[in-house]
Order: sequence, then C-alpha cells, then structure tokens
Amino acid sequence: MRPMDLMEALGELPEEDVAEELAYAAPPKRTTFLVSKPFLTGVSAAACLFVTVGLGFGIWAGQQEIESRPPQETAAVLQTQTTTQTTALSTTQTTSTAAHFRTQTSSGTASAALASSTGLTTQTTAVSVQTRTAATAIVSMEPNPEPVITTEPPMDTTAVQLPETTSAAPETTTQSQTVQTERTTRPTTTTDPPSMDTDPPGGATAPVHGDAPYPGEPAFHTQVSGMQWTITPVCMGDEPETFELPYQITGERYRIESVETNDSASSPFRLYQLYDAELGRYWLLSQFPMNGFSQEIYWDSGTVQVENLQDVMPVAQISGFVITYTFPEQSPEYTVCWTDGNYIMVMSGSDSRLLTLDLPEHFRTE
Amino acid sequence: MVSDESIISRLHERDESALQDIRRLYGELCCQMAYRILENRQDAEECVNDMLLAVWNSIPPNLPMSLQAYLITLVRHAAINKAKYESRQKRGNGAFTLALDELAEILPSGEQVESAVECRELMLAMRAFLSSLKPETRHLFMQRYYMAESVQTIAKKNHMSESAVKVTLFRTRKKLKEHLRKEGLL
Repeated sequence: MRPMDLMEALGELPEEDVAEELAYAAPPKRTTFLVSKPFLTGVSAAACLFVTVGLGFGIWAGQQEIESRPPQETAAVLQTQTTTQTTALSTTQTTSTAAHFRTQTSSGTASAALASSTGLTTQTTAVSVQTRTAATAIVSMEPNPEPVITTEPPMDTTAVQLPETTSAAPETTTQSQTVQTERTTRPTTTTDPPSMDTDPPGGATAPVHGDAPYPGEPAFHTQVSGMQWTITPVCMGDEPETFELPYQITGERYRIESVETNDSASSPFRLYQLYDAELGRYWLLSQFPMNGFSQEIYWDSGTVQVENLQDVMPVAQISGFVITYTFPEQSPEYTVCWTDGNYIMVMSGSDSRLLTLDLPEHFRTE
Repeated sequence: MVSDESIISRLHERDESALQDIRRLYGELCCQMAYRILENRQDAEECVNDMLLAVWNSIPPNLPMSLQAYLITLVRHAAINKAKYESRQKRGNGAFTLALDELAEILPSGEQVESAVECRELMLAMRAFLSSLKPETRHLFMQRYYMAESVQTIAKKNHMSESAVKVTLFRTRKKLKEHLRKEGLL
C-alpha cells in the first residue's frame, strides 16, 4: 500500500462524511487573559521575593529574640533552637541496670528522667536538647514558690546542666547537642533535697529536681494547689504559634489540652515533659505521629499499655523507652495510658490535631 | 444570493449558468484544494475545469446532498489523479507531498492497491477509523490528509500550536497504522 492509496481511499469517503467535515467548526479561540502573562510573572516573582524576605526576617528576628533573653531565662525554661539536622526526637537511650535508670534523649527537647533505686548520689547530668525547629515551653504549676532555686549562670549560654541525683556518672550526650540545661537542686516541700536513699513509690524512679518556673511567660503559669509540676510541651517541626498556648490545665484530672489552630495537621511531634517536684521525677511524654494514627510514645519508666476507646490493646513495639503503636484507622479516638505502679497517665485524642493529656488525680503527690 | 439547491436544480435543467455560479462561488476553494495537491496554479485550474466537466456529466443523475462536499470530492479526485501522473515526472515539496511522506511512515510496503475491491476495503477501513476518532482529532486528520492543508494553516485555523497539531497527527497516524493492521490491510 502506498500513501497515495490512502489518499485515494480518503477521496472515496461518502459525501456526507466530507460534508460533515467541511461543516465542522473549530472550537472558539481561547479567551485571552485580561491580565497579561508578563504581569502575572512579575506578580509571582514579587510574591516569591516577599515570602523569601519575610521568612528571612522572621528567622533573624527569632534569633535576635533568643539572643536577647537573659541567661537565667534561657537556662530556666524557654529554649527555642533551630538546627538543620533532621534527627527527629529519635533516640531515647536508656541504660537500665539494677542500680539506676538513665535516660538520654538525643533529640527533641527532652530532659531525661533519671531514676536510680539504690546508692544514689548527687551528680550532674547533662541533658541534651536538640530540636530541628523546636520550641520548648515549660508550664510550671507551682502553687508555692517556696523552694529555693539556685540557678547558676551557665558556663555557656547553650549549655545548662541539670544536677540530679543518680548513681550514674555524669554523662553528656554529644550527638548534635545544642542546649543543655543546668539545674540546681531544688527542694520541693522541704528545704532538704529529696532523699535519694529512699526508693520512690513504684521503686523505679528517683527524684530529679526540676527547674525554675519560666519567668518570661506568665501566661504559662498555672497554679494547681498541692502540685508542683513542670510541664514542658514541645512542638517540633511546627511553629510554636500553631498551638494555642498555654496548655490548659483544668479539672480534677488536670487535662492538658492542645489544639492546633492551623488546619494542616502539620505538627509531627509533640512532647510533654512533666516534672513532679514532690518526688523530683520527670515524666517524659511525647507523641510522634508517623502518619494519621501512628504514634511514638516515650516515657521514662513503668508499664505501658496502649488502648483505644473500645479495648485495651497490647503495645505494638517496645524498644527501650520508646513505644511505637499504630492506631487502627477505624478508631481514631485513642487513649494511651501508662503506669509504673503508682502513676497512670492517660493521653487521648481524636486525631493528630487534638491531643488531650489526662492526668489522673492520683498523679498528684500530696 | 444563489443557493446550492438552485444550482443543482439548474444543473438538472441543463442550464450552463449553473456552472458559472459554481465557478464563482466555489472556484477558488476548489482551485486551492487542487493547488495544495499539485503545487501548480495552472494544473490546479485544469483540475477545476475537469471538476466542472465532471459536475456537468454527473448531475443529473446525481443529486448531491452537499454541493460543496461534492465539488471538493471531485476536484480532489482530479488533482490526485493528476498528481499520480505528475509524481512519475517530478516530486514536489509542498504540503501534499509532505502529507504523503507522513503517511508513508506507517505503510511498510510500497505495493500499490490495484483492485477496486482492495480500494473499497481500504475506504471502509478508513471510514471506520475516522468514525472512531474524536471530532477534533478527526477534523485535524481530515484537514491534513484530505484537504492537504499545511500544519501551519491547520494550527491557525484551530487555534493550536504547530507542535500540538504535529503531535496529534503523529498519534493519529499511529492509531491508523494499528487500525489497518487489525483490518489485515498492512
């Protein structure tokens, strides 16, 4: 077959086909934009420039704000640190021996709960804090600011040390360490430091003395009678203002509620650090949604179980002090609770944008 | 304004003024059609004359539904016949020649379709193929390979870019090749 044969075959098409083709009207020309393309390009370029400059200025302003804070303030509570590393609240190292527990968190704003059951002596433990875009806010609930707080000026503005009583040797986590907090021994209800010779209830923990309440943010201070806690919500990978702060602590169960104000559910990580000043122990609670319902939960000690609203489910995976559990899609409401025998903490939420931390009443130390 | 029905009616009455009206109304259109194939104005005008003669001889008895389509078919047929003869003498470089080259890409052999039966089968296959195309695509295909219009002209008429026309035609040719293969014509 030659091309001309095809042409001839086309010429044999019925008249109506040809007539139809001749009557075919080409679609109308697309309307031209009222705004010219160069104008749109210019506007887009200007918008990009504006955003870039705005971001740059915002970062600069944030750094200036951090640098302008007094050392005590920095040492005490609020630490905002931006690094370029992408290690996200990853490692929670725990060395558990018969004598002590030591928790070391290498990323995320994490103060470790150091627990020692025997032979505890006062030592200084460095707590490493590393966040990518982390904002740390500590909510202090101290009805009686009686404790004498001695905060020594840090040797380095980025290094603050937290003395605590463990039998462990002083250890400083060095992996991308960005902030260290030095804390002095802080008696709670008595002038004496908590005795480390006595096993705390539950037997698994030993006091870790908390830091001073954050002086710069009065809104963060909520007094609850009979309690001396320090609660540290940390938002990582998100701008701090995406949360409505302060976290509210209400009711008998001391609900700590966090609701994101944006719609994007872009906060991949939350961490709550609760400090029981009575016993001098930390609870390190974090929520790290891997996806819609996958959570990674850190805690310092105790038995952990995860449950949704219907039934208690076994923990999917426990590695050290890290629990990873994927919530089934059909039960978006969930409750996570864990206990070490004395304390039970319950964290519940309906989705990744709403997190409610219920603190049972008996968590109080009276 | 002379209507097509009036022209056809006068042709049936053997009124030669109908041919003058055809030349006046459709002469240039037919001449352009032939010119695109032959690339020669004189040959194109000869084709128009041949077309007028064919009209005079075929109407009556024929009663075309669309006079324009009827005329285009006739002049195209005349032009292609002339082009077949001319192609033995020389080879042009116009839109029609390029269209032939494009179609040659999908035709593996150079054997001529000899019999009328084969030609009829090919026509039916082409018709089926065209009916399977979307109207816009079919229109592009017909403009290129029936009306022998250049890609530039097609793009302008259809408010498309030349590259878009080329891409559409290329894909349509591939479909045609597949269709002809399924029909056992390749």
